[in-house]
Amino acid sequence: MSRRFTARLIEKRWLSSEHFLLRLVPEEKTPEPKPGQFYLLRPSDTYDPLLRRPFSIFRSSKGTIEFFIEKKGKGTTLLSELQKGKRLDCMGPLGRGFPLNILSQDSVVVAGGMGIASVFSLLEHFKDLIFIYGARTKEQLFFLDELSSLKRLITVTEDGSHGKRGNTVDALKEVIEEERVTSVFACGPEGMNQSVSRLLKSHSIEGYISFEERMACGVGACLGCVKETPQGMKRVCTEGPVFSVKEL
Amino acid sequence: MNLTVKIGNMTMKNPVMTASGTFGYGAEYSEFVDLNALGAVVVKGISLRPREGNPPPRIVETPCGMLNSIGLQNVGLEAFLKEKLPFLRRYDTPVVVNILGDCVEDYEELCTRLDGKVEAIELNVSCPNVKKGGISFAIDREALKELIGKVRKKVKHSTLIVKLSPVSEDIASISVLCEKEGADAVSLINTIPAMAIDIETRRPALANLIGGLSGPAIKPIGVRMVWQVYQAVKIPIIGMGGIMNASDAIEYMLAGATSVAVGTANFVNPSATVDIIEGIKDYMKRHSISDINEITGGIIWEIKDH
Repeated sequence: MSRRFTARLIEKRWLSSEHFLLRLVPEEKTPEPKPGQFYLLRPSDTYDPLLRRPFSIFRSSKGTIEFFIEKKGKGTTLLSELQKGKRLDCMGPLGRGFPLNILSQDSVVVAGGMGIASVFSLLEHFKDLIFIYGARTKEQLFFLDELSSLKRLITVTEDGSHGKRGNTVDALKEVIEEERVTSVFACGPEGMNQSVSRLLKSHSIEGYISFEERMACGVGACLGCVKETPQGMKRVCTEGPVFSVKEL
Repeated sequence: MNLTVKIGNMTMKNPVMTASGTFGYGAEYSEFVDLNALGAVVVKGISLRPREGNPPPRIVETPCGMLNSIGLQNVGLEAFLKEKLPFLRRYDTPVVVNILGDCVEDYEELCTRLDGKVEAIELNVSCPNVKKGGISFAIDREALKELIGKVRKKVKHSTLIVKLSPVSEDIASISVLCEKEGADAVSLINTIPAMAIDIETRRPALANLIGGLSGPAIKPIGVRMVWQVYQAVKIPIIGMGGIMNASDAIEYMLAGATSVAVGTANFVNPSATVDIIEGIKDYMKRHSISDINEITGGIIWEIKDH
């Protein structure tokens, strides 16, 4: 089984003018991804853009792997233009995912914006928990139908267009004050991740947060994607992308 | 078909090696590449003591290339010898250790400790010389001369390679200096200092502001410099800078390289090195070349008078 393979694009589905799902079928046997792990996709066969792009596994089932992508720059634009049937050069699953063994009904999962892409497969794995999902507006909240089967879904938006007005960190604070919370799993923008980490530390709650960083090799060789931690520089691609709050 | 090349007293089963800093300590890529197939593995630059490197962001993509400012992060000599080298020793492939220091004494100690334990030592002379106000050895001829002269006395068994920087003024005469002081080979080019700015935030793309440009964008510069150095010295040249495929490797060899190093391409295609080795064989077949050494410096050229 190889972690470098070609995969065929079998479905591209637009969820907004900027957000799309890519569903790929690897052409050979590849290892099963764990929630929180990621893949490197090569958006082009040319040298511009040059590097592969990292994407969290969104969903995997019956030999297919799926990615939820926001069209933002050169690489994601090219990926958004791919036609069904196109073969893609992939590497993965890479990195350290979320520890599933500590998921319980006292767990809380938090996603901010595109952070949903990295925690969605966790929620498919275990539904009996609280999920806090925030975005700027209701147009940027996705998969609400699928998420309705969770024990509890709390949505927050910055403009109050869906759920409470506010942010995910305040919502998490409220839940921690009201409920028994033994572990938190989170992924969002850097600012949210930092705030969640501080909050969990102050409440001594076990937490795992998925981080994003610009990446080149994806296998721990280039030291390009490091994150500063009290124990020194950690590579997001290999020691992460999911870090324990204790490490931060 | 002979693919064997020699760099100093290091024999390589083919001319393709990895470029320092792009292949970790070998183990990181061992799942994607058969390390036994490579001409040599060049590891991430090693200093006497571990280094933390620069704060992130450390890399950014630019057209046909990328900038990096890793800042020489590495595990240090002790950890390299204890934890990294034994893994590479399981393979039948020469190991080249790139080394870096703050002063001549650092390099001397690194060479003393590494000599004979690895097939070759490659001096990264692009680092600032702390004892001389931080001026890089690459642009201070006197310091470079002293450095090579002194480490040469410490390197008795391994092959001594000097990695040249494209910022050196007149790279050909610098390579002559290296040869005179006893270097067994030169490797070039190191990355080119460069910069990128995010115009929306007005922030530099790298925390360190300046980084080294690598990738296909720099290949023609590397080819030109290899050709200039080839005119000036007799010692073998390891060519590098933007080699993505076998055509690029052959171009460098025609310009004068005996061996080539593959860097940024590993990130794009983790099996780039072995793909290049196969491509070189195809080229040799296509052109009925029986010995790879025949193509080194094989560019056909003349300057026409008008």
